Order: sequence, then C-alpha cells, then structure tokens
Amino acid sequence: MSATTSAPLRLDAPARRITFAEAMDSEFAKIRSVRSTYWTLLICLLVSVGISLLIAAVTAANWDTISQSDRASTGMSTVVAGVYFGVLVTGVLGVMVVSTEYGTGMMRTSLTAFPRRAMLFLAKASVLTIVVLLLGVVIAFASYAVASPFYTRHGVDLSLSETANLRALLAVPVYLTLVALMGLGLGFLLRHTAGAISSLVSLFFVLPIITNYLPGTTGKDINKIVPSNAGSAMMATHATTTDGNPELSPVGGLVALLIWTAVLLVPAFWSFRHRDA
Amino acid sequence: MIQATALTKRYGPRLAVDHADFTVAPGKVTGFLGPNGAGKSTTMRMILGLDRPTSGSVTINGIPYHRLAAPLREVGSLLDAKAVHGGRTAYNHLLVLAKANGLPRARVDAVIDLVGLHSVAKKRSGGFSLGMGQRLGIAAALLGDPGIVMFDEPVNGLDPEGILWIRNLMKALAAEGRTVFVSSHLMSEMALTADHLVVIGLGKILADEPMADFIAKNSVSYVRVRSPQLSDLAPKLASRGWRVERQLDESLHVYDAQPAQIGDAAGSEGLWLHELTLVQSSLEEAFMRLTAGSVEYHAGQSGDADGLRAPDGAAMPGWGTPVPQEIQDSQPSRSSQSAQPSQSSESSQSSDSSQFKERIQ
Repeated sequence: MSATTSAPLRLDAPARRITFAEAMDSEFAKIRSVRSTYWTLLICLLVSVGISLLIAAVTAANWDTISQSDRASTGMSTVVAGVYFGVLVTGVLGVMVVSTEYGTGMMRTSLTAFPRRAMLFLAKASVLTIVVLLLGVVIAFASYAVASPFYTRHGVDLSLSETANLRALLAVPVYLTLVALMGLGLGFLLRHTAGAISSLVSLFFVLPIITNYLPGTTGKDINKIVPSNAGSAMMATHATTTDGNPELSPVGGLVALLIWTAVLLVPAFWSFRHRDA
Repeated sequence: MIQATALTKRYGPRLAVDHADFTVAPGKVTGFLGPNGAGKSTTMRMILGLDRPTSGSVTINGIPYHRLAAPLREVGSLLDAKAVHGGRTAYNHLLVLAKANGLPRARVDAVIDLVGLHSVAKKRSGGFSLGMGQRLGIAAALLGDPGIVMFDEPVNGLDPEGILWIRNLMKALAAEGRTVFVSSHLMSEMALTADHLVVIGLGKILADEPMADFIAKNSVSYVRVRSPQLSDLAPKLASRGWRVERQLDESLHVYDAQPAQIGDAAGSEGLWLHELTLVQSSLEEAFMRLTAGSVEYHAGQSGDADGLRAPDGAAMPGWGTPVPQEIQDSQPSRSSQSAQPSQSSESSQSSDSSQFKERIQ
C-alpha cells in the first residue's frame, strides 16, 4: 500500500502495438465477466426452447381440430416458434453490451485503454456475433430436439436431410445474431439502455401492428419487410401468402434483415467514431 | 510530455477551452488549477482522445493519443473513479484493461497489491466506497507502468488518509521521472503537491509557470499598522510613496513597505505604534485574484464573493490606485467592503504559512 515502494510498478516487457487481437481479447473478457450476460443468455435459451415446446405440445394435442391449411403450413418455423420471442432477448443483450458501458462511464475507461475506435467497434460486434451465433445453434437444435417429435408424430416432414428444413433451422442463429447486432447499433446510437430497448421493442412488436393496417399492396409490401416478418420469412420452408400476397422468400427475408442491420450499424459506427465519448 | 497547441473546444456558443497552449514536463507534479467549469476536465478528455478538439491539437510525446502504440504503457489516467461497470469485480475490471493493451495478467495482481485492494479484488466494484473506487481507478492508471499519469480531482471526497496517500503517490511517481498532471480546484491542495502550475479560467490558460514563480508573482503582502494617532500617521506614511488603506477596524494596511521602514518612519515623526505586522496573503487568494474575472458562477452578494473580486480595484476603492485622499474617505459603505477581505486574509494566513513550510521541506 505504501506509495513509495515502486517495485510492483515496474513493467519491463516492451510495449507492443495494440491490434484487433487485443480488442477481441478485452471484449471477450468483458462479456464473460458480468453476470447479466449469463442471465440474458439463459433467459433467451429458456424462452426460445420453452415456447417452442409449449406450442408444439398444444398443437399436437389439438391436431384433430386444426384446419387443413394450418396443418399444411406447419413446418420448421413452427418447431422453432419460440425464437420469435428469443430474438428480443438477444437484441437486449446487444443493447446492453454497449449501453451499460455508456451508462456507467466504462466506455471512457475502455476508450482510454483502446482508443482505436473502428477496431473496438468491430471487436464488440464480432464478440457479440460469436456468442449469439453459438447460442443460436444451441437454441435451434435444442428446440428441434424437444419440439419436432410432437409434429413428426402427426406426419409432418421435419427431416434434416431435407435442405429446406436444415436451412430453416440454420436461419435461427442467423436471425438471432442479426437482431443482436441491431440492438448493438441502437445501443451505440442512443447510448441509453431504456431508450434503446424501447426502440428495439417498438421495431419488433409495434411496427408490425402499424404496417399490418396499411392498405393496398404497397401496405402489404411494407408489412413484409418489417424486421419480425423478414425474420420469419427466413425460417419459412414453403412459400406462404398473406391475403393472397406472397411473403418474402427466405433469401429475401435475409436480405431485408441485413439491410435493417446495416441501417442501424452503419450510422452507429459513424457516430462511435466521431462523437465525443 | 504532454503538449497542447491552440487547443480549443466549443460546445455550441460556449468556448469550454479557448486556444490553450501548455506543456506538461516529466519529473515533476504539474498542477492543473481552475475553478469549477473552467475547462479542466474537457482539456483532460481531449488529451485522452475522448473528446475531439474543435481546433488545435494535443499530443503525448509528439503523438495524438489515439495513435499511441499501446496507450496504457504511456499514459495512465483517472478521470472519474465511478467510470467502471459496477457488475464486474475489481480484478476483472483491471483484467479487461490489461488485455486491451496486451499486458500480462501478473500486472493486475501487482497493481492490486500496490493500491491495497487485495482483500476486495474479487468483489464487484459496484459496492465500493469512494475511496476504494479511487484506489481501483489508480490501479488502472498504473497498470501499464506509464511514463505519464493524469488524475482529475483525485482527492475529491476522500478521507484524510486517502488524501495523504494520493499526495505521496503523486510525489513518488514524479520522483521516478514520470510526468504527473493533476487537476484541482483547490489552490491549497496544489500548494502541497505541485511543482509547476497551469492555471485555467473560463477555458483560457491564465498562467503556466513554476509554483515558486507563481507564489512570488501573485502573493501580495502588506503591513498592518495600529496606532492611537492613526489620522496623523496615515498621511505621513502615504507621503513616502507607500500605498495606505485605512480599515474599518482602526488599522492601516501599508503596501510596498517593510515593517522596519514603517516603524522608523513613525519613530521619526514621533508617533506611537501599537501593532506592526507583516501579513502575507494566501495562495488561495492569489489564485482567486487571477481567476476572479473567469469564475463561471459567482456566489450572489456574499461578502466572500465580493472579496474575490475586490483586488481588481472595481469593487474596492483604493486597491489599484494609491490616492492619499482615500485615507480620509470614510464613507461607511465603501470601507465596510474593504474590511471584509482583510479579515479573511488574516484568518487564512496562519494555516497557509504552515503549508508553505511543509512544501519547502
């Protein structure tokens, strides 16, 4: 404790130039060392798999009363239906990775340690992507494991050797990750947990309600590309229509969601590089 | 070495930092002094690349902060002790920073021992007291064994033991040849630790000089004289070219003269003296005088605030211009104004002279 003994102060190793590797190291250490990460991941897993299981059990129990068209539209997207709620949790994780740093002032400390902002931004986004992708794969296959038996019992083809089924299942981690990145973008733009989460919820739950009421084919076209509908298009296994208007194809859904992500991440990147911390 | 050149930061219509030029050299403690809102923190944030200057530049050993190869190896800073994620343990907080600069894990243990946080290293920092938070911040600043350390108001809110610890630490760091840059709004604190002084007021650098020069230049001294024959004495002293002010408490303040000269003068006129005291104004007053025009928020009508501005000569007659007539001038309103600052300077006198001694040792 004595300030005059400077022995532990000495660091003889030569200074290395900081690179992307150090930023990744530091960001991994950050995300690992707060409890909220584990809570968020656990909640996301439980919500996604739990709701998928619940829907499967209820659907199977009432199979006889379900209309022919509903039976026909049952597929992989029904198996992983809990993901529609899980995305919100990964979105919140994306927000919090940034907003808690601004909220606590940690961002200034982080930036003094690693002032190369573009690299820090990319490292943050990369670490989030890796964590959520892994979680997404776990969620996808866990949901498949617990929910698919309820449907296959009634003759629904969910075989993973079917390309469309496998693709739909693999869309789950991609969807979760893109929404997490949208949350990250909102966190950087708004720097405020409550504001960014409200915006995210509005984007996923309020916006579709509004666009759903838009009249005419233009209204339908707009409704298709809102984030939640683009996400569900990614997980569709057969072409679906709403009131005779075809929904986006899986690739179309992916493109729409990528555009949404870019619309938030690009300004976020610019803002992070240029605004005072 | 920190070097600012025409460093300027504008927030809307307000110039927070206005063409600041200064250099912070190694091997000594440089105090960065200014009233609240003077631009100290903004300047420090610009040094660290957190805020972008509107114009001008500031460099660390010739390089802008964001281009340093490994920033923590060159600059250790503590701007805000609360700028940590409260959910992370002290150890992990330091580990995150160490990893960002490729520092070995052993450094984390080393700085934790150095600041004495060993027993709480695995506790989440959200529950830390202010003093513990400050120690954690200093541990982070020392993580990379930096040649430059920078602390913003490090003793604010600390208990006496913590204050003493930080003072000694800063002196020890400077003695090791490091550049130590520390901000404060308290002159008395600076007088105890700083070797060099950069004074800022309303964003402008008002002084950049060795502490000793600052003291010599800015400390005002006068001789307090009491006499039963004050009315006779005052014009006699004034006629010798000394500036004389008559105070409400029936004493004279005589400037530009030594006590012995005044005593001799009184003796040669055959006048009695009851008191002859050399009064040295405090450094705090010198600082206030320097920044008097640049305090962002004045404290209403209180006597103290008037005392701060008095030396300009605006609020207090007779301070700037030694006109003998004013000795006779005994308008109650004016003399009551002049009485207050003199009392305050007397009361602060004793404590300040002891601080000087401590500094010199």
